[in-house]
Amino acid sequence: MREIAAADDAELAARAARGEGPAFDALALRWQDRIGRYAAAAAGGDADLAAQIAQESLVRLYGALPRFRGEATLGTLVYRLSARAAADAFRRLGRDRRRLAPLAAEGAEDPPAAAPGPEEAAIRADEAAALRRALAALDPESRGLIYLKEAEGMGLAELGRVFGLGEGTLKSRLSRIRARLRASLEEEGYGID
Amino acid sequence: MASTERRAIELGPALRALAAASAPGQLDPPAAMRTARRRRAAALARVGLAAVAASLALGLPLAVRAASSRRLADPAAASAASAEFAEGVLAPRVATRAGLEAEIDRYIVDLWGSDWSLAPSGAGGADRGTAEAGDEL
Repeated sequence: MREIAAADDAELAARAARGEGPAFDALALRWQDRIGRYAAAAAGGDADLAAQIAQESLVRLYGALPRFRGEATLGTLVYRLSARAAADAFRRLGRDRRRLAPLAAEGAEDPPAAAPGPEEAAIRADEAAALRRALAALDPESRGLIYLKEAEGMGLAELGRVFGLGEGTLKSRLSRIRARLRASLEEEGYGID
Repeated sequence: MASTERRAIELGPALRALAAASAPGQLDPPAAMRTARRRRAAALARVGLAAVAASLALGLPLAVRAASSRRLADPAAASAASAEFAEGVLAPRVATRAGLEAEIDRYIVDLWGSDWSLAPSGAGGADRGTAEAGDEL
């Protein structure tokens, strides 16, 4: 048996499914940034909710691993579980999933961090605020969809497996999401590349 | 004259930067494992309870049916196990064997329909919380 550090995702998943704690630790460590970013995107800027969604995704991943047959990538499973965790979190909170305006407004008034990190430096504070407001008008699944497509570069086939949607439906949803984002951003003087 | 030129936001990098800025830090895999195991144990307990309830739901009326086929006219003389059920639930409402059987059928249907965990298939989430339908990827 290979050392954990050298094991690929499939092997770690199989070992974690048999109850090997260190294998699950390693798998979680490998995926936690991606899970965290997805959770943050779906949560629409609510850091506490993002943390809940990310941790819940990990709980569901551990529970789902014994059923994972390896016919899809582990990423498909991870993002599918994260998407459901996000949907359930919003349902539980009883929030209007289409409106996170107060959060976006708070974010817009926050002063920029003193020394933005490399990720944050990729977007200016005013652009970030405008984009956050535009995203707040979307539902969590749409935010997750556009995030995986544009930020993670996920293809339509895998997106379809993650969200359980056909390619035609996906294309039209993505098109509508982009149109809504574009319209919101144009009101603030921005365009989309 | 003020410029009307729009500044273009590159969507992919911008979304990634926003998500990274509000992403949680370290997750807690041991806590996740504990929670998942607790949910699994709770799900198994629910399955056990459902099995017991199903046995009662099917077994008790069958016992009553067996006893009543011989002693319908005298519920009090039925077996100790079925007497209470027959007297308390059925006897006040039925006078004939056909009526008794209809009442038993109704009782079973009511019982199955009253609790999702007793549903024979498809309607429940016996291990909901540990894994979900469709996760067999």
